[in-house]
Amino acid sequence: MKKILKLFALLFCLFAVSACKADDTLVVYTEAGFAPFEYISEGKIVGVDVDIMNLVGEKLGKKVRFENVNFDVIVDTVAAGKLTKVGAAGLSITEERMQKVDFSKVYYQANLYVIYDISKEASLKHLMSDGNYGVYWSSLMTDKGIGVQTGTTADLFLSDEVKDGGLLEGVKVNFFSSLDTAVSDIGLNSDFVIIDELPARKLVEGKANLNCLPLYYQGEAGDELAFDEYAICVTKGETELLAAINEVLDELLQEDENGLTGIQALVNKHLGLD
Amino acid sequence: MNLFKDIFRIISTSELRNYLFEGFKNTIVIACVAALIGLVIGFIVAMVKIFAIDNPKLKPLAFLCNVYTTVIRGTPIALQLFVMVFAILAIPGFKVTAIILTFGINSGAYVSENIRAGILSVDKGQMEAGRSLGLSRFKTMTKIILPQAVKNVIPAIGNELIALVKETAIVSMVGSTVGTLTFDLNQAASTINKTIANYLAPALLAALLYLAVVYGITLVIKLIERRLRAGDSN
Repeated sequence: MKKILKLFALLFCLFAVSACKADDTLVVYTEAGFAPFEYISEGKIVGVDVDIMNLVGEKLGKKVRFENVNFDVIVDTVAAGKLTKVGAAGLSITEERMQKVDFSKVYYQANLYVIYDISKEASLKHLMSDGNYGVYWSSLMTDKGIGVQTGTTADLFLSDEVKDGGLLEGVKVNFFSSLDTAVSDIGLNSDFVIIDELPARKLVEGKANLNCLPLYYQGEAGDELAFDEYAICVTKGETELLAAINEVLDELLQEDENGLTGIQALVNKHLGLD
Repeated sequence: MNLFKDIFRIISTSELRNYLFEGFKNTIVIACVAALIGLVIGFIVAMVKIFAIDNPKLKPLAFLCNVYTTVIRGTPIALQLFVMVFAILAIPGFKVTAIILTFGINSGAYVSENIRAGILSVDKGQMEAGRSLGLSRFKTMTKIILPQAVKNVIPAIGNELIALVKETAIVSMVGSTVGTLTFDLNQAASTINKTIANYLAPALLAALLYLAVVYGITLVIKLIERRLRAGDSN
């Protein structure tokens, strides 16, 4: 009996210690399937968001620990503020999310891209009014369906377009929890996958049968890109943390002598472009 | 509280509510068809294994059955689902079939062991008695052994059915499409999260629906058990 009590006492001490430790550690929730913003490399979570949050940690004098979780639960957990107070996962700002959490500055603007099988290229590729090649939303009409990662901006855009009166009325949407799975479904149960530019580029890298192009809306004044803006979310009321994040973002958004922002430099680093 | 407000919002908005109902229906359909497949496979595999004990001709077949139960019970079902959908049955339009087959084949492995255990629990003397009365091995099995084994097997099968219903929650791993059977209850919760930016509220409602199905299965199993035990008056 005494031994058991001792064991419990020991366990309690351990918990107490780890609880103390948690105080000087900043836990960040992310979904590490969104290269180059967060992805797994050599068993570690790395990416642009990771670099940003490490700088924030430095500023606050805290250790930063990343947790790879399902995209669905990030906003929720941050809103509750118990397990984590920060979510950095290439999150886009929506009205519903704004009611639950506070958002930092927008630190990246990304165009939506469509990933398709190369055999379909001829019927999709189109020279846009801005001189670049792209794909019109309206040419994504398909019987099979379009794949998206649940909760991403691509998902929100597409869900609007497939509703009655949308550009893609009646097209099926295939929801995936991971992008890799979504891409492996092309040709089987989906014809396209829609996602932001950089993850799209990473996903088609080294795959000979796949390609990706930006998505355009056919506007009256010309062709318009469909885009997405990223921000970091924090628990409501965490002003100190939010200020630190915004400070870091401000520094990173400044251009150097070559006109390159710190964020862009990080993006290039993770894309292997520098 | 926010949570209650969100739960109320889901219940009172017909679009959100319908996601849950659709997911609920699809989960039940997948689980029911898979359970049927599992019962058939499980029964056949159990029979092969039992008859192979004293029939050398069936030994190779029993070996295959053993490989089947070992592999299926020894690997994660998420992996089996993935392999089935993206490798073995990677044919356009076969996703739903692949998913239901995966769950059926998986369930079959567990059911076969349940049924085998039930048959083995019937005293050996019953078979000997049947044989000495001039009944064939097959007749003894169907007329004497199986009716007794069923009673022992039902609770275990109920257990497996309950596990199966909840296992279907991993369907969304291989992609869910609204309007098809792949849009299960778990994905419905995920979809509602997009609209209201709260995962806990729809997940709790989904959990209630899972609980309702499982409770329903428990009631049916209890009813069957009572009917089967009605004859045991000692």
